[in-house]
Amino acid sequence: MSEQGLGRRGFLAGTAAAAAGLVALTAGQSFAPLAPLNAFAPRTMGAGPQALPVNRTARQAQVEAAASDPGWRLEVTGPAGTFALSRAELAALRQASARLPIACVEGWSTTAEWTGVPLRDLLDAAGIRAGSTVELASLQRRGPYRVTTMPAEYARDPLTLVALAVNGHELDIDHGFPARVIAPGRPGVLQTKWLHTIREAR
Amino acid sequence: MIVARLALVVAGAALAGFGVVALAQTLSLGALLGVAVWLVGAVALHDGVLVPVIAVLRHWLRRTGRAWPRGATAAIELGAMVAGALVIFAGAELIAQGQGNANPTILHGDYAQRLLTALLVVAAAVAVVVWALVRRDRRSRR
Repeated sequence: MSEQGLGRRGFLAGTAAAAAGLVALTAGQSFAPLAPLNAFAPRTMGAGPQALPVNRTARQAQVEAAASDPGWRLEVTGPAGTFALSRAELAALRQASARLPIACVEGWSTTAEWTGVPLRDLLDAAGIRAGSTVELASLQRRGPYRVTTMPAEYARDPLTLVALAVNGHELDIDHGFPARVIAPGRPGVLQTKWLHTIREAR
Repeated sequence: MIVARLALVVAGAALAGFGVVALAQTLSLGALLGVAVWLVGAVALHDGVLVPVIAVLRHWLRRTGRAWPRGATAAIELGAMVAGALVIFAGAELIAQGQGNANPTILHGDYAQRLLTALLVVAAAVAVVVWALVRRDRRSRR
């Protein structure tokens, strides 16, 4: 019987072909030039409220009632005491914009234009020291990322925002309304949505 | 050569060790148990089911195609690798869709239809290559 089938190098070529095929048919969920070829990725570029994907909806996180409550206040606690700001009060502070991606560890990434209050302004107002790690808590009652900590180099970055709007529109509840954190260079799970409290971490 | 290989082995072992330590420090005992079940399950499924099935199919293919030029059976195996990767990937999505999904921004495609289309394209490409190779081989033997 003559030699048949793939040899060792052929097998490597097959692995490469399978990988290239899968990449071509899935990378379009995050990579615009391949978006028309996206047949198998779990997400589609631009699908979701405000053309942004959602990892966990408000309903899944069970925050629908708390997040749409007009009595919501953002509580900031520091050595200077605690103050609470409504959405309107946050919107009246100095606003900044940043073009930042949400990069999910699940493998998708989408860039958007975020607008809100620079986090460092709030930290300064509360008297939180420049080198302090900050603790951010969500309205969520459960979940491993309900409370996250943010080292000072992120918290003090001028691009780090308590965002109130995305792409020129008020945040959708699935993107963290009334306010969410968006910081450069952090995985998506740490971009806390439905932000509730900010304080100096112990 | 030996030095390079030793360096690679040491670097690989160090990286793997770092990964194990980081895993043990990050995950709870329950989650670690879940990882262990997943790893053992993956090996059992791969070695116990996937490999025997593929070995039988490959043996049958190579016997059936022994009169063909080698490129023909190689093309079929290459196509099977590509198709297999697609089936495993889209199959997981179909299972997840079947379980129901509370997030409307994810898994909204008709993956069954797309998988069928992709498999037909791969099969057609392989069929064309096999047909062309077998025909050329028969002509050159005449």
